[in-house]
Amino acid sequence: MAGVGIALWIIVSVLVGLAGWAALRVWAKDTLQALPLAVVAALLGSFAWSEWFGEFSNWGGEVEGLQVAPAILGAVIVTALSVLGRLQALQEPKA
Amino acid sequence: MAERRAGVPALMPEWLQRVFTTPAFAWLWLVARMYLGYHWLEAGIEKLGDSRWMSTGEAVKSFWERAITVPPPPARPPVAYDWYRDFLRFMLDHGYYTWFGKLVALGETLVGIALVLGALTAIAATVGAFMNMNFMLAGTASTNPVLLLVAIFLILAWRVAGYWGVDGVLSRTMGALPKPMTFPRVAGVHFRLRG
Repeated sequence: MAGVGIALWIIVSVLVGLAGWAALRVWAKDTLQALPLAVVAALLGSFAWSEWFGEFSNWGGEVEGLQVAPAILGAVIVTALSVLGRLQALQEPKA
Repeated sequence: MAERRAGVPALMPEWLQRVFTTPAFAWLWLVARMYLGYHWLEAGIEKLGDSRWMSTGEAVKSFWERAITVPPPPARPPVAYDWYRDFLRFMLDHGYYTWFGKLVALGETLVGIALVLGALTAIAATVGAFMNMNFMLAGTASTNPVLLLVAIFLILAWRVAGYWGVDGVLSRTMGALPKPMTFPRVAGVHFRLRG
């Protein structure tokens, strides 16, 4: 990835991460602490699907190394799973 | 979560324990699993379609022949340990490469499928790590060190590595995840993975 591809990757991931954190705020009244994790999940998910697993799903075109559809899909999938996991963890009894 | 017993030191800091044991970080292990599984699957499928692996074993034979070669000094042999070179020579002399090629191709494919699906994740990662170790012992670095490292992390995260996969579905259907792991006495002290 380079230039516009990296910028797009960061923008998409931050937006998806923010959406994930907003969902956590609404459903579980989660704190600001959960925000970095949601954004990191989106960044990693987006990167993984674009860079590593993009060969299977490169139908959305490419912007300077970023495979658009897989990048968005990866960010959404991994952020959704991180939100679900966080909700699950919040339900677990504390020590 | 179980209460920590007084005087029992934790094996890892609290935040690191959370990374390896709670569903909140299961997404991280899903990505690691997919990465590792994809590599194994890609390598395995390629070998499954190659007659040098699946019928004659020629690929394994030439790999072993190259590995046991000892060049004149100061050049170093590909295999650093004599016992491992003897082991490869024994297998080569007995013609085991004919079935070993099939074993490697099938093993890599099955490990890849298991990791992608999250089925028996820790066992699949252990088998993968064992293969990485053997490739490295035979003198091939390639991507093996990175794959081995990812496999070790997946083994450490065994409780939640398959949470978003078959392991997770089975554990949610058939009952709770295993209880927190208690290590036996190490150097006179009881260690626990999580407190």
